[in-house]
Amino acid sequence: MSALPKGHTSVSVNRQTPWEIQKAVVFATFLREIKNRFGRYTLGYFWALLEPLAYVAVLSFIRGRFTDAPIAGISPLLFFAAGVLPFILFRNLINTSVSSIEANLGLFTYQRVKPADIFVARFILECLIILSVVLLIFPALHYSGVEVQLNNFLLLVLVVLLTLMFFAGLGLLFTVLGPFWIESKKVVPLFLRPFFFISGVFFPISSIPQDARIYFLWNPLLHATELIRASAFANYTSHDASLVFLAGCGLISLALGLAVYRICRIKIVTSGTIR
Amino acid sequence: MIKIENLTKSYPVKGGRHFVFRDLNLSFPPDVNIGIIGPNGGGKSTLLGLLGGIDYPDRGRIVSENSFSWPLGLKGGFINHMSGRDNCRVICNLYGLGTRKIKRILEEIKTLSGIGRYFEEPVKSYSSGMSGRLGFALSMSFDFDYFLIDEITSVGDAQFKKLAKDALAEKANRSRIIMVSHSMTDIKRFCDVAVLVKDQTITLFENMDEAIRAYLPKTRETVEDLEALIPEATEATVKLGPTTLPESVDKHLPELLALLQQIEKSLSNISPRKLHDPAGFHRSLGDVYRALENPVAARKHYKISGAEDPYHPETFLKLGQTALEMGDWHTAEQALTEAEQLDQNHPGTLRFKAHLKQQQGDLPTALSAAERALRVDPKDDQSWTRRAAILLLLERPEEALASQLKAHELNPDAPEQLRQLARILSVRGQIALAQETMERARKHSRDRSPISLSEPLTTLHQLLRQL
Repeated sequence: MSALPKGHTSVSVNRQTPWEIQKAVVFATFLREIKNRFGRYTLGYFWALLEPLAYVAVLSFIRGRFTDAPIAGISPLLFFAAGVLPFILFRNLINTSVSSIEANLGLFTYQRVKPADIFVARFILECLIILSVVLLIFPALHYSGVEVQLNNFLLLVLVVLLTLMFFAGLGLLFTVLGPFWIESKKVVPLFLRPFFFISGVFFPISSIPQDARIYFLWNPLLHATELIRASAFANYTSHDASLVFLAGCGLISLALGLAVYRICRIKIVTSGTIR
Repeated sequence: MIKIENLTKSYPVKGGRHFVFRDLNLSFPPDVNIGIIGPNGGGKSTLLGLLGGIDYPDRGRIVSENSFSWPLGLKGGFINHMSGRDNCRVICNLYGLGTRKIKRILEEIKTLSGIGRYFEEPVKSYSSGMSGRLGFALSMSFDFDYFLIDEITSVGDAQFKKLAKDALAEKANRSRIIMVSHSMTDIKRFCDVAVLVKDQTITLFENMDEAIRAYLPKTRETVEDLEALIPEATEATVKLGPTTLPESVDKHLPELLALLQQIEKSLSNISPRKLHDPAGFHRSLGDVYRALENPVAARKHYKISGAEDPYHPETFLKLGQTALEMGDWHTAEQALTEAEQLDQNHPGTLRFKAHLKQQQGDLPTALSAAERALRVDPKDDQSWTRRAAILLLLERPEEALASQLKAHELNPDAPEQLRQLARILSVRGQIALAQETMERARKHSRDRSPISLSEPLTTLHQLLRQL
């Protein structure tokens, strides 16, 4: 008797280049993340879009009760959307990074999967979610009569890249932190909460009193939101936000993240419950 | 070709590091199947993990041009809330297969694993045997140069074991295997060379028998020599698998078998919920099968009983002992875990733990379990005997003798205990006394009446009334 059926397919894995392997792994973990995040819920993908929309709606509604005046020269809807989206990306990235090793310990049974692949897959996924909200929200606002006028597209691309660099470095740092400090899953979300209030999500820098402003300006996320608005929208007036500061924070964070990852890449995989 | 260069591997433990390997150098001959043997905790699975690239050495490296599978074992590396199909799809994606190929492969995995509709169910609903099967079927879709197998041949039922063995044999022209197993029979059957992993080193043996001899404690040989001198002595020490009882054993046998058939038939017709006490029913049925020396059926009924009533330690001990007699360590370990959860200090549980750990070669744990059992119940001759057996394997014959004499004091006529006493005496060189003791053991086992089936018969009659 033959155990394997006739014509049984089996695939050789010997001739794959490192690049092919990396691509396959990131792609597979990416698909898995999608399934993991949304597959279990009805209307799965919809939830990812709903949250930022709800934030913008609630903030605009509250403000609309008091005044219709533009904020720092642009419509409140645009203002809130441009503040909420980077914040949500930041928060989701850090929160998922902390638990990403633990959630994927099973995958490390397959030698080609490295923690970095999982990080990259999650990073791409989070960015794509936010990108799809951007592509949904701004054209919608434009067609419903809100004036959306692009200021400086190239500058916007630069600011977004720097911001993503900053996020990626932090994300890597927290990916490594997760398995070393199990309480981080509880503590990190707590720490992230105040960032909603100090990162200029619903107010411009110019509305912060001069005396307090120098303290607020230590927060790179505030610079990021402010710079994104300034480069995206014509008419937006912004002072004090510094591209150099954001770039510096981005570089330091990425370098630190990569270094820590490099040092601990083996420990975090074996730290878990493989044995 | 696999080459290990200056390999050092350690794990942090409380107050320092535990070194599994230290400055190891070794080349495996190319194109052979490799069996890994050694005591528990010796580093067999660590070696497999290092070869598979999912664990990393502190220093040194493993050089090889070949591809390795992931270590195939009980844990599948699956995501619990995703279905078997989705899990397999993810892993096919990991290995970069195209969509059309994946579709075909998934159907083949479904057939080969034999888990049927469960393929569409979340993996969390699987038994460990099922996820082992699925992982195995999945791995068969790839051509690795080496398949790394961690005790997979001990997963699941006999039918699957056979399938796994045949499938591996068919792969033999393209792939080699590296396997960890406690079963020397499997190692001998599949592997060309063996490596003994023990005391921070790895030793390569081209001759399988030599490897097995180096692994098993020396005392075993002495005992075997003695038993060759006294031929009949082996008869009871070697436990055979399922055997059929000769008709002459007891005049009740035909009646018993007829009753059993009747019970099995009505059982398949009624829902188990209809029974007044399903757990007790199946436990008694298990006892009957055990008396009939049919451990497969006994294990089945004990399992059902344990599932119906998970708060009865006796069931799990019986299940564990039956499984252990059959060499089904996986079930035995599960049963032990269940029993320990109910009562860690039950002398029966501790005695069983000692037995299981002894069989698995984890002698220190076995010894401490036996001694704990004795602390709870110092008048238990079986625990003394168990302790003696472990001490003998630990090459401490003096203490073994003291322990065995204690058992002898408590129960002077048990043939099994006399036999072990003889073994200990022979290890100490007192051959004449050993032979005399063995003679006594033989006399006592002859005096014992043939296996009585009247008790199972009464049980069956009672059970039948319940139906």
